[in-house]
Amino acid sequence: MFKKSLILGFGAMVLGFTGFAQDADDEYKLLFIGIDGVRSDALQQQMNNGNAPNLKEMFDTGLFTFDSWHLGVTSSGPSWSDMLTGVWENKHGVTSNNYTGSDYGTYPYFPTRVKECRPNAKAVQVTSWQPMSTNVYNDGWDNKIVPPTDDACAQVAVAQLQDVELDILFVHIDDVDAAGHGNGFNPSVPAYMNAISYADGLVGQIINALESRPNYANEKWVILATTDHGGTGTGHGGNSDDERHIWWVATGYNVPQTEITGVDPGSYQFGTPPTDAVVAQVPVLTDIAVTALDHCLPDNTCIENNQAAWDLDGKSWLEEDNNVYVESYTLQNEFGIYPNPNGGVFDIVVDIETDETFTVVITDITGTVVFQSTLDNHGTYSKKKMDISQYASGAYMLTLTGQNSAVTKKIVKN
Amino acid sequence: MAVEQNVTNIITNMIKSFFTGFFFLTSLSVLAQTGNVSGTVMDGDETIPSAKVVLQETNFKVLTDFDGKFQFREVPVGQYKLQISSAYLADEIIDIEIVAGETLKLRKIQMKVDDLVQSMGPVFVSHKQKDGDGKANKLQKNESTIGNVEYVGDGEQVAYNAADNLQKMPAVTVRQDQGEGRYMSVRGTPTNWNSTLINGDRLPVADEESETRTMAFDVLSSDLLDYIKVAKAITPDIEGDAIGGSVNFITKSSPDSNEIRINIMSGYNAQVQRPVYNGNIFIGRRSKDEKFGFLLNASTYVRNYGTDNFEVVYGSNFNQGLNRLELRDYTGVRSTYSGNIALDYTFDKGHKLFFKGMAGYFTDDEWNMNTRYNYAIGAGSTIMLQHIHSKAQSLLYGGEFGGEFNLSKKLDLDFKVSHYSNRFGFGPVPFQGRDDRNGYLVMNFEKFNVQFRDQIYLDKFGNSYLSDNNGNPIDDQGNILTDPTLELARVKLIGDDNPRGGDPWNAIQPIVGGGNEPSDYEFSGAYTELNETWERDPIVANVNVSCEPNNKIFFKAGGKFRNKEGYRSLSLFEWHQNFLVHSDPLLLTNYPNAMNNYNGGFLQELGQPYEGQFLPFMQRDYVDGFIQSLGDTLREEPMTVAHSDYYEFVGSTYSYTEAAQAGYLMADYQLNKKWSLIGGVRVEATQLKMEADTIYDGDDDWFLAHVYDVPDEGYQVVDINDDPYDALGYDRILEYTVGYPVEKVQLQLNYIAPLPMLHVRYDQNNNTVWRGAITRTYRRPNFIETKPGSPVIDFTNLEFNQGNPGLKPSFSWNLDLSYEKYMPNAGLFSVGFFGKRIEDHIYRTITADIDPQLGIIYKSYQNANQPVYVGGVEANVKKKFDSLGGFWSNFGVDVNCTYTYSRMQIPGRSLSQSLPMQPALLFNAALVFDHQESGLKASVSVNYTGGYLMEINTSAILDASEELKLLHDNTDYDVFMRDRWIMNASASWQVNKAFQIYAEASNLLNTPFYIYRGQEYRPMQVEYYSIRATLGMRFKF
Repeated sequence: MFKKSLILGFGAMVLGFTGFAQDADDEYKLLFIGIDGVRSDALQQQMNNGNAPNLKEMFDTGLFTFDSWHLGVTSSGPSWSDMLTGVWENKHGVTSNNYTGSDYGTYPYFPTRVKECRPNAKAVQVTSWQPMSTNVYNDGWDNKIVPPTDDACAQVAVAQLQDVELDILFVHIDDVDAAGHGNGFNPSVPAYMNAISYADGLVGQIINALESRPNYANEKWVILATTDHGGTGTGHGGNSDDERHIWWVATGYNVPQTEITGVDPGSYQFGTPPTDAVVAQVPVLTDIAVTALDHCLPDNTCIENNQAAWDLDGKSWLEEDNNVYVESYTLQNEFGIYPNPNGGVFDIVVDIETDETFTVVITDITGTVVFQSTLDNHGTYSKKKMDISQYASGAYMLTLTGQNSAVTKKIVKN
Repeated sequence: MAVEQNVTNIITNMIKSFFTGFFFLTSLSVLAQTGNVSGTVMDGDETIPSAKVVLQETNFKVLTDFDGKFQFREVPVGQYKLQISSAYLADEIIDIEIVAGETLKLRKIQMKVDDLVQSMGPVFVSHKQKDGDGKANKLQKNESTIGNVEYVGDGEQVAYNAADNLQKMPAVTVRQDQGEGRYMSVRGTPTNWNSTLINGDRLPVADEESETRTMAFDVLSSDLLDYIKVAKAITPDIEGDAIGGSVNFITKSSPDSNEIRINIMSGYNAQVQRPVYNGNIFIGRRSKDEKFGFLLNASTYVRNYGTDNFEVVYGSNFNQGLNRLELRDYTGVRSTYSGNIALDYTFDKGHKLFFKGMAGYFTDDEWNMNTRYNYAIGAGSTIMLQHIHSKAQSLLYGGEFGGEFNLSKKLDLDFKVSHYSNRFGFGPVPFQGRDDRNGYLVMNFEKFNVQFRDQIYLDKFGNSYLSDNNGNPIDDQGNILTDPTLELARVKLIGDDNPRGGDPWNAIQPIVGGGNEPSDYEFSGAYTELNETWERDPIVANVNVSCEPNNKIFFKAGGKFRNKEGYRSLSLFEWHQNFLVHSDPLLLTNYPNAMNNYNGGFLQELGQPYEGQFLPFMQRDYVDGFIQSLGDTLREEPMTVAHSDYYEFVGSTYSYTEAAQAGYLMADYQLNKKWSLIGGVRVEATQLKMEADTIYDGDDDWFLAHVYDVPDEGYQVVDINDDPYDALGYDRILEYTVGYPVEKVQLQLNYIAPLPMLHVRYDQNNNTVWRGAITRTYRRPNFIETKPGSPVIDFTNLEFNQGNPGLKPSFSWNLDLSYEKYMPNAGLFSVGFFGKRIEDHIYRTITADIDPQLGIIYKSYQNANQPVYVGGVEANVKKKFDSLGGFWSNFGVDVNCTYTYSRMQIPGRSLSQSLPMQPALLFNAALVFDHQESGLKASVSVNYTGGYLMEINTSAILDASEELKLLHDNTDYDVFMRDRWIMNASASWQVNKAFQIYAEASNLLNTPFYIYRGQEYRPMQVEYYSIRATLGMRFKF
């Protein structure tokens, strides 16, 4: 199958995408890199020390947080299930690495959902962790590959990325977790830190392969990277902060460059579904699948039609009506709020190509205008520092208007 | 009980045994007119070995052989007085007449105890001195070498397992398994230094672990044995692979007269609260012309056993935190069925042919209901209820055919050809009958996401912290600690390791947060460990030639040839829940379950520290059928290349052949009445070939691969860039997996061992003997120790065993000195000194616990790069309190002790330490009661084996200067065996000549088998076997 794909791929390049079945929005593609057991503080330290340049580049150019909080059981089975289904443990049913109690029939992995809207989408999973392959069903993967080592996973990922048909690739890198178990999950432990650097090298290989795709310029890739849990001592699975404090990052098509910070919404371990308002504002595990769906299905109708059936818990980083995560796909321009969330002081930045003027209006719930201004033109982008710190906490509406487009966002002031 | 002295017809010649090498002969000029005399020296029904037989007024002098036989050839015709002396019996003097050209055959010369009046003619012995002690003592006194002899006789000993007989011998220790003797050791030296022989040959070894060349005794019933001979310093005619010593088990040969013996025994094992049975029947016949004799012996021994065990695995090389705690309740039934047959035929000229055959079949139906607390499973802690069941089966069989020939008057020749085979495997669990999936079954029900509340945090300075409800480390004010530079580790520490006071070793208590209910447990997988192990010696050939040019010197030369072949394959068969069929948990509570019967309480010796915490297990009669009953709810995962762990098993199949040739030449020279010498040299050559698989070049040489199921070829792993099957359309079992170039590797190891030996004996007087010996011996590496290729996996114990093909055999120079003073009535006082200098000592290393998530331990083997020294003193006192008179004169003591000092320098450690597997102190004491008038005997014995170092932790890391440095300079992460006392008692009553009742109670102190890490408060394996009591009776016709 691999060889066949290569030949087809070659043909496709020559013939201009006529060699295989295609869906609309076929150019929207997703790479999800999961690195097992990387503590937030450890990654930050490695990036600051120049020991994780590939991830650093993602953080420098993308949307990221070091402040995500694990809300379920901090072991791999439940964690990856949260991320890949977009629902919490009370729904997908997996609470341990034994994978019993799963209800992937009702709450499948997101590639299954993508295929409901894009039937010809091709999705591949690469992991060295056997249970995630054999114990999961209704996952939508066209191929589940279980190479026994991380090196092999990276190589298989590189090989898969040469397949022009590929739409979704999930690569799982396991050895940082192993190093943590062997030596300690701690930024002071060299073996653990070296494992993070090594994993970063594999991320580099995979991203290079992605960017070397023949038709890369015409494809709309989003790369997500995250971890499933942290660790303390040589273990995890518990409820301590060091086990629950994680990070994630997204780069690629239409993803703004911004940092998200959030408070710990508290523990929701063992099946109690997290529902409170804080969870709606901070980055959590279930956001991954929802963000992935959001990107892979740019025509929102399919998602909206299935909203009740899919019953997703997460939120998209890219979703327009989310107060925290702002994306400009109704604009032709890149658009961001920095930092986000914030204490009331933030920058609005819009990338511009032409000499275009943007105005921004913020109103409260009642429609009263509390702030109004024109963005400063800086040649390639427009920018304006906003300050609503003197106003009461609560929800506000922000409307950005350009010459040919306008968008309204809800923002929340804490 | 009078037995008539038989002086019977003349026969042409007499049997010579292997022990002719120890005959002492004095010179005599050969006369034309000569005749021969032969006979058997008896004490009641027992033959007396090593009795001194002298023709008075001549230089003819000889010791009887093990069967009590002696012979003088070419004795000048005439009348003589034949004097026979033995250690505690009165001298016997018989008038004989030698007739030219004829052999005078003296059947059954009866000796009697020396407090009776010595008489001529027919001898009446008032009672039998039938104990092994007397016989053994006589043998020891008359032996040229340094050693001991234990007489087993016609089931005289109460022990059923052959190794248990050894336990009583001076300086012999027996390593145990489930309370039964398994491997023996002379003077406590490492088991691998010792040689176990059956009729002079090492037997093939095949058992579950097969880590040694020393046969496990489980399969061997003591009913097969005649006597056991221990040589502490060997002579050139004994196999030289015996640094510690050599133990020779001699199987029974046909008796001199018709005999039937029946033995029935039953007993009780207190641990399991179940019975023990033993039965044995012995039939011996000899033809009327006495040329043909045979014996048939069949024996069965069925015993219930039980063991309460707890084991602790420590998970880290950096602290003493617990990885897991296991509470194992073993129960089982061991059955030994054995039989032997012996035939011999003596020709007119004295030539003799014999055949001995034996078979032993051993089964062990073992259950282990294990509660396993996994502290450091990576993804959250868990508790497992492991249902472990296996039916181990061992079959040992073989036989030997040989002959003894008198080639000329001065030249004897004997030969022997043997064949032996030993096979181990697992029987019908979990499936009935033969099934490739049958093995050591482990079936797990598991509770996930356990929050243990008995852990603390340790920072890098050793400060300890408690945790809050979410498991965060908190300081004394309750503030959460967030400073990563503290390098906090969350660990369960016990004893003094825990600055806040840890659990004592005998009550390590897991504290489970949030309850622990039977309904929390769900099926989490099952597997069988598959094991096929066999070893056989298709042909072992022995030839010995002895020559007596004159009566002062005696030469012996011989050769031995042995071909050995062996095979071992370990594998795994797994069952996992098939989530495509059924994704709900398979809860333990949905199946028949019951509280395990802990037979009087689990670890009742420690006050049942886990009482009330146990949970039910699946009912035993449901366990074997469980897998089958689930049907396609489970999916099978055989260990093929399609299995994700396949490459971990690559090294677990291997085969080997070993050819060994030995030749020796020795001379036994009697300088004068006081001094004698035995000197000689033995040369052994070994050619070992082993073959095993390896992953070529380790981790770096992998390739992306597809796995195909190719018709007629099976699974094939091919590089995706060189894939011949893609175009052919064969089924892919796996895509884009990793292949490693698996290659067959061969080891060819040849070595020659030249072994010079010299023994000196000085008879200061009739009762005082000095001995000295300088010998060179060696130790062949065990097969698993030199195994090439990838490591052998021990799956359940999570151990990898990496062979070292570069190992050299160890060589030892041994010095032995002893002083023996014999006293009347089997009294003996002896002291001895021994010293050994071993080059290239082979020791076991552990590079432990690199990954506490799995708790995997890597073991390997190394040659010590500096000589190892072992020195010791030993003493033995045997004394009957006959001087006390009256009732007390029926008592006696037998005490021996051995103290050993050993030094070994572990490379990379700053201090030398004692040798692994070598206890410093061994001590045995027995109080014996023997009331001959009533036939009542009793004894109480204690046995002490000092603690010793078992395994050395050689885990190493690169230090700042990038040099590999041992992590542990001290022994705090090494593995030790704690000292142990064992006490046994036995009694017997000879009701009449034909009927005896006996009883035995063993392991009266019930002290634990105790392995620990570094410090005694850090147990690794603790086992209690409880008391076993037996009652039996014997009939003899």
